[in-house]
Amino acid sequence: MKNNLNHHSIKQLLDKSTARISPATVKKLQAARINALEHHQLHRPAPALAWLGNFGSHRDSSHTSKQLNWAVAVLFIACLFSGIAYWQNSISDHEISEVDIAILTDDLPLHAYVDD
Amino acid sequence: MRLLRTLIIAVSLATLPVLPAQAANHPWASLTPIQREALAPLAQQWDSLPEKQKKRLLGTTKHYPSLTPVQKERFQTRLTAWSKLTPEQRDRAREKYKALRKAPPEKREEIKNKLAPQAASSPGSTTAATTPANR
Repeated sequence: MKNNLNHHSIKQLLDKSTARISPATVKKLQAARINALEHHQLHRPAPALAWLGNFGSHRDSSHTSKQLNWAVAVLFIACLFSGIAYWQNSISDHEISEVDIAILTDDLPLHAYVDD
Repeated sequence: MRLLRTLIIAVSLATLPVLPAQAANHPWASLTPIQREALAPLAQQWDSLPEKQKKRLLGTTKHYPSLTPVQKERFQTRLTAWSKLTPEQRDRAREKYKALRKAPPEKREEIKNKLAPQAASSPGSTTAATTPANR
């Protein structure tokens, strides 16, 4: 007997086999799938924090771990914003100092720039 | 990952005290000899100046060693008058400077000639030197 299986025939065979499964089994499989999906959603770490934490840790410590991840993320963001603010402030101070020395050494007198 | 998290906490905690430290005050006694030389006219009132003003004045002293003698004289002569201005006046002066910097040389010359008589009578506004502004 010639064994001539291709994608199409495999699909047809699977469809036929699936059609033969009893409604009770289909119902059970459906319930199991829903259950598995819910479970998967519950234990998936927040994507934004996934790189920060040890999401492969034990399930019993996952709550504490999540809180710690949040704390680390908040601390990191706070430091990042503080750093950016400080950096921008430094640039601004530097630019102002450049203008100030230009005014203080310019060939035009000071009162050319200062209102009476 | 645990190591990365610990590293982030350590870096963050190490950075936090540095930021306010950068804004610490600068008493006259802590200034370098060059800073003291440049800011000599303000020696008496330095410690009572607002911290922000001190920081900006210290910023100007970075260029002080590279100034010509004429520019150094201008700098020191104008410093007292400059420090007595209100922050708003200084901001307006900066804006005016930026606007005038873009003006053609003829316009600058015109202003210079117009202000010459006043400058001669004002010690903080010398126009006697001919060296162009360094920036």
